[in-house]
Amino acid sequence: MQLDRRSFVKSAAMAAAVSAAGGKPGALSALTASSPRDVTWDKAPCRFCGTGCHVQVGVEDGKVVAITGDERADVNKGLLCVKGYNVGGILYGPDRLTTPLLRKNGRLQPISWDEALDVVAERILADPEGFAIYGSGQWTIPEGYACQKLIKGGLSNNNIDPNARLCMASAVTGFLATYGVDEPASCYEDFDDCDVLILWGNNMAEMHPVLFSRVLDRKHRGASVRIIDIGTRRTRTSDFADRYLEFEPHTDQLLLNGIAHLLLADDAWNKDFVEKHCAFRKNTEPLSLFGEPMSFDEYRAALAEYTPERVAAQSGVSIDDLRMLAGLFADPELRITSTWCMGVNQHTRGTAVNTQIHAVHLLSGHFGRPGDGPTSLTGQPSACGTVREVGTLAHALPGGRLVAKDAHRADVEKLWNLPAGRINKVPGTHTVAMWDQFCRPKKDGGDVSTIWVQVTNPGQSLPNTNRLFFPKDDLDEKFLIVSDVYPTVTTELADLVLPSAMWVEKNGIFGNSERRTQQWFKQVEPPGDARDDVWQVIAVARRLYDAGFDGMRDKDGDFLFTIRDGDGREVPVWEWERYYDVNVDRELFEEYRAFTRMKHKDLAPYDEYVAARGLRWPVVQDAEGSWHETQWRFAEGLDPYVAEGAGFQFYHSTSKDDRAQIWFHPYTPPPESPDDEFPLWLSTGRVLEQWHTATMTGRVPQLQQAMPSAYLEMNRADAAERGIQNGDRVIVRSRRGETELPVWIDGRGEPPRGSVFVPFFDETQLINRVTLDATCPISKQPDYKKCAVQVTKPGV
Amino acid sequence: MLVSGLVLCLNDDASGTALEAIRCRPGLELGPVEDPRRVPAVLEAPTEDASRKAIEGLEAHEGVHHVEVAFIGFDRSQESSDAARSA
Repeated sequence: MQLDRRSFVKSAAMAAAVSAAGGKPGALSALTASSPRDVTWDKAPCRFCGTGCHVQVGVEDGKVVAITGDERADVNKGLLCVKGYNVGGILYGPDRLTTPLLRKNGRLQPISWDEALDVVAERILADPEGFAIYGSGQWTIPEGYACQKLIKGGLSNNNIDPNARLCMASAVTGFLATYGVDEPASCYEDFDDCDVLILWGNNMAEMHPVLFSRVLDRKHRGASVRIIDIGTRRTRTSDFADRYLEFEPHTDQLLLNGIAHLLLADDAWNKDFVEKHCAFRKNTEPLSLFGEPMSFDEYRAALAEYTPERVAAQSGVSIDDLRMLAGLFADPELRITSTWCMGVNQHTRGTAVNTQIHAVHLLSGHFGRPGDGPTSLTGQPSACGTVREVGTLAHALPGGRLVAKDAHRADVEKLWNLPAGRINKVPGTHTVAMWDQFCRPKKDGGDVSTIWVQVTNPGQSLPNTNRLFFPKDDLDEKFLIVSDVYPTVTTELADLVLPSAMWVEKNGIFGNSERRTQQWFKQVEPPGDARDDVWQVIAVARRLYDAGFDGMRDKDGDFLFTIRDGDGREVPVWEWERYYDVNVDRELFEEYRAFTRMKHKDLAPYDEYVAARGLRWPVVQDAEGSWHETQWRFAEGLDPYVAEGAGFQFYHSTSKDDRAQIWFHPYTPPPESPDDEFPLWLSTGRVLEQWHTATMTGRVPQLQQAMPSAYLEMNRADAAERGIQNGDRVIVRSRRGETELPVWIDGRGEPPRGSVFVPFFDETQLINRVTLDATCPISKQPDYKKCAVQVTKPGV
Repeated sequence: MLVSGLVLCLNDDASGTALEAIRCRPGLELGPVEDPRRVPAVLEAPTEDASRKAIEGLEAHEGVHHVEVAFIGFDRSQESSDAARSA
């Protein structure tokens, strides 16, 4: 059956609606089979958050014309959020970057790709030690892998770090410190199986709406599932929660110690689980990731001071509510899922709080059953797949390896066929240090001379940009290269801008929050001269190779990114016209896959992902040759690497005895608190309609119109005290900077007295001129959720 | 013309009357009703703004709990409004 275009679109819309309504699953598949000849459909993961929803992309005449949820995807089962339904629109903003631009006489002017690549190569050749790449959790796995190889295997300086340092670094260190290996043991099915969902500072209704809807749908159908929202400000999530518990900023550490205290005091901890599968751990001085062992008696003694009375007095959570929380964990019959995201991670004690959430789960034995365990969520589509697994961090190597470990460097040198000693054993600069060095003159210790930014917008998203970004404008010796798809705050200061292909304009692979690796194919051409980021990296590397830069050769003298066709002939993929002669993504992924076994993060061959809607690692092959994903790790019968009879086995245990670590961390005050001059707490964050710095969602009219500009949420009493009315413009000012915003009282969120909230998506109102750049001492992740500010009317 | 596939999520106690009232809305076509609490529909609107307002109007309608968007058709006519951001 053939349909005219309008009928087709209407039929597709109805089919999707019927399917989403639960009436006729598969209706869309039937429709796509009958769509006009020139409309093709293919899968892709959504471009936005870390949930990893799959969409079906409808393409006609080389353009994306329709988006619908993919009903074959386990993650979203056909459902999408408002951003996901509009994801196709991100390709078609009117101001796409379509040609390389070089700053000449103060203005960005079009140049050729040849000239652009020469400029990048010259900057590297002039100062290879001072060259850095700053990427993101939006890099595809091959993109991150190519950058990783260029920097660590080629330039030997380890100066690569991602914006994910700002987003989930504390979750990484929390998992490492507790289990000896990164990433959640659990998966999204926990939301289908839990009796209690505890949200630790996590506005899931806006940030991960599709996952939150899985729980809401259960409640709507009558399931007994309790949602407990623990936060510092009421949000849309609070509206759906059974209980909202508000705590004083930074006192989550106290709450968690208070719960552990009660579990011990009430003799309600799970002795059998702890004795068989756990050990105890405490800080060292100076602080370290793995700390040192402590005995159970020491643990009990350390917690003694965290009485309900003290915790309630400092946190603002009542003794009754604290006992209620402890009572939930004390009940072995309940299945409790804890989730968290930025509220816990963006914290100057982020590593500690992460480990403390794991600790209450382990201490109570709420671990390892479906619906029963701690799981963190990520904010970017491949923060896990690319940053955490490929290891695009200043201290890391692929597959969970570390640059500081001799054996790990030797492993990587062998797999990359590099001469021994090529990889530097000194970690590079982490994000805050990288931008600090970039924004200081070399004579003052600013050793980073050039940064190549890819797939992120640090001019808007770094903390304290008055120190960490804007000083670059006065430093002629520094050079900023930006690969991006639209003009941004970052490109405004760039010396060289490289236009990139995005999302379904290129092949890609992401890894989502639940260890799910997801592949897609290029479906449309990028506009103008925009080109793939992987190609850009390989083309620069080839320039260096041709210039005789030794780091671009392996120990046999071959190019670092040698890719051969099926007949063994080298394909010159550094030439754009030849780049798609082979599937470079497949080649790089298969090379990277060899790294994934050491930490039992096994990946399947590329083609297995082509056929699937993602697979969760470890993906293991059975005797018949079929590949199987793993939903829950460390539990017998669920994780293929757990020995028979073990029950649970934490096989990367830092105590080398298959035990997980229950950490004690003392409460540590925040580095900055409200005072007489700056009397309010400022928290920043995201909103449903805009994604991060809105470089993509801001180009989609439906989303931009729904949430056009940022605002300052303020408590009504605080506003009245200052003579501020709803809609008034105010100055929010910290010790570091200020910005002007309209006030929203009783808006989407409701901050308590003494605190305000500002979303960071709006490039015209840069709240990160105000925020604090203090970091967690272990993860080096900054705290965007707490700093001291004043709010005044302009001119006051 | 922007075409959206919607799921109208109706309150249990008002689904019948709400449906009758909604059925008359311009540009809205209801699909087969198998679960009266979740009704599929297609909305056609001339612009993004009109579409958004129509959905807001549906959400404000008595008996409607909320509206889920299940599909968005990016028609060629949308290109002209892509300039909204740059305006």
